[in-house]
Amino acid sequence: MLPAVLLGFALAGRADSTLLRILAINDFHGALESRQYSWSGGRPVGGAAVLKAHLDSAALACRCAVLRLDGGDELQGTLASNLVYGRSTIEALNHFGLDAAVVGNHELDWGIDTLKARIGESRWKWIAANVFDSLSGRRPDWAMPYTFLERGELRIAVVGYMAARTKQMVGATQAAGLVWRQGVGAIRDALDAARAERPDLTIVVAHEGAYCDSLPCRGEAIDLARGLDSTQVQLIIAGHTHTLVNTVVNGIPVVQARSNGTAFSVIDLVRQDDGTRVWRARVETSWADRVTPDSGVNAVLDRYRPMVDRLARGRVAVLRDSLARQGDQYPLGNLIADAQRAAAAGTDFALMNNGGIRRDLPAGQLTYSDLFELHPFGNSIMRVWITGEQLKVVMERAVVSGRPSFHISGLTVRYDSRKPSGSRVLQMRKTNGALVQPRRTYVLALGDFLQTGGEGLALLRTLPARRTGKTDLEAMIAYLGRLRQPVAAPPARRFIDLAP
Amino acid sequence: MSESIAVFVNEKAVWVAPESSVADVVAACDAALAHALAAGGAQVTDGRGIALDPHAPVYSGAILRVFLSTRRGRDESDAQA
Repeated sequence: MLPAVLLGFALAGRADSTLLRILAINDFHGALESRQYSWSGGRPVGGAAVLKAHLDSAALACRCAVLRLDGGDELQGTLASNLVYGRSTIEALNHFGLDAAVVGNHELDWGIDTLKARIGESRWKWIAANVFDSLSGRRPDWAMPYTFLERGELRIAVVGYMAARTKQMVGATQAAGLVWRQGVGAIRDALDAARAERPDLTIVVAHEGAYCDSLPCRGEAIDLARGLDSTQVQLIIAGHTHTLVNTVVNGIPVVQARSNGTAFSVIDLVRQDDGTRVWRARVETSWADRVTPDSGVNAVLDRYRPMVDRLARGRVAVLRDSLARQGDQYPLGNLIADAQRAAAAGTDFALMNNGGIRRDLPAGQLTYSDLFELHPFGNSIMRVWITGEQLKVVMERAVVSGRPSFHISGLTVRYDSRKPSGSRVLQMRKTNGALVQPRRTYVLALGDFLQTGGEGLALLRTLPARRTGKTDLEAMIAYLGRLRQPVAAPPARRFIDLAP
Repeated sequence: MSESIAVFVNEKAVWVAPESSVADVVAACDAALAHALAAGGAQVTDGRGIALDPHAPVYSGAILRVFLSTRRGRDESDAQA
């Protein structure tokens, strides 16, 4: 067994040698094609063929043993992936030489049977140690808690950890019969079992991430690292939050490479000239103009492009401004909530969870593909009959963290983030200025993911509900088509915090 | 006449007239499956596995799964309370 791994970011000395290079991606979300992003300065980024070329280049440059890992949520998110339930993405990723991937929450979006089929088609190991059958308490048979990989003289244990809130984030049908447990205790037996086989390294691949916009970083992956130490686990590959993470907690590096194939992690285990070992990690952007796209992956994509191109390129509307998901309240969210309220006549309010808003939109011409990637889940828009009193409970949930995690339409909510959770909402007014009456019944529009209790809104499941017959995507396309072009999204904040 | 719309059935694109029903789309895709659907020997779900009414209209880009089964799918009335 190797001596304890020391951590550091010292400059490479002449005698340094890289013992192992780990290349990691996460939250690929079916992003098979390159595209421009609001931050990319007009340059195309990502795409499966580009990302594969970057990974190969990084592997070749090292002249060392290489491991390729994936932090989950590979499949869900684009037309070319979703129309075949992720099969096109699996075929593309089969060219990547991945060794193991953790199961992401969105891997369950099309049901367990479909996930099993995708797992059967893939060439890598799927791992998840903290998901259990709710009746038997056993782990399901479609993923292994950990796997062993050998590179050179190194035996490496790789343990999977899914988002502990998967039950709240996956549709009720897809999550039925499964429970996810949180924290180190949920995977302790898997770590102990792996340790008993005397690995040289133990890596946790977690579909749990972090936020490092202010320091210290925070999030579930950070909490996980705090519960471990570097004698148990030497590295955490993170995912889920779509952020750039490159930090060290409790002596354990935690690394995440944004999302959608726009970046990849390069994590080297280096032996320095004094014999000590250090990790050196970086996250690189997968610029499309820096590499020659991989021909094998391109051949896969060529088989799927004809199926989607005609629909994907269809023009839907024109946007006056680019619409980014910045902060907790933004015009794009207002526009979506307005579209859902407009999905059926006689609807008073609409509610949209921020987690379901999946991409920014560029200014100018919007295509069907843009909007599909905004709303990839196929959620049905429901109408729910709710009293003002019950609506307050829902709005309290919307500000449970002190900041709103939803967008609303037809309504302005004044709240005080200084007050305790559950008593923050002070006033709810309709758009016409009328106060929401506690005993009056209103009609609330929202996706069936929320209506069936998603995001912890269990109350909604108990209320009378009826389908509008429209999906979120349809509602958005229809609404945009009715607005004056170019469309300007409503900027006003609808959750107003009265705290100074 | 309106342009046809694309609907995806069992991973294949099918181009149908706007306002087509789920059953129309299945018929355009596979006559045998359509026959089974009409006879109660098949089910249709959306991409998430939630049962669809064969008479419901489809929209451009809808993703459908059709499979042979005499077992009744999840009843939408569970959302009607």
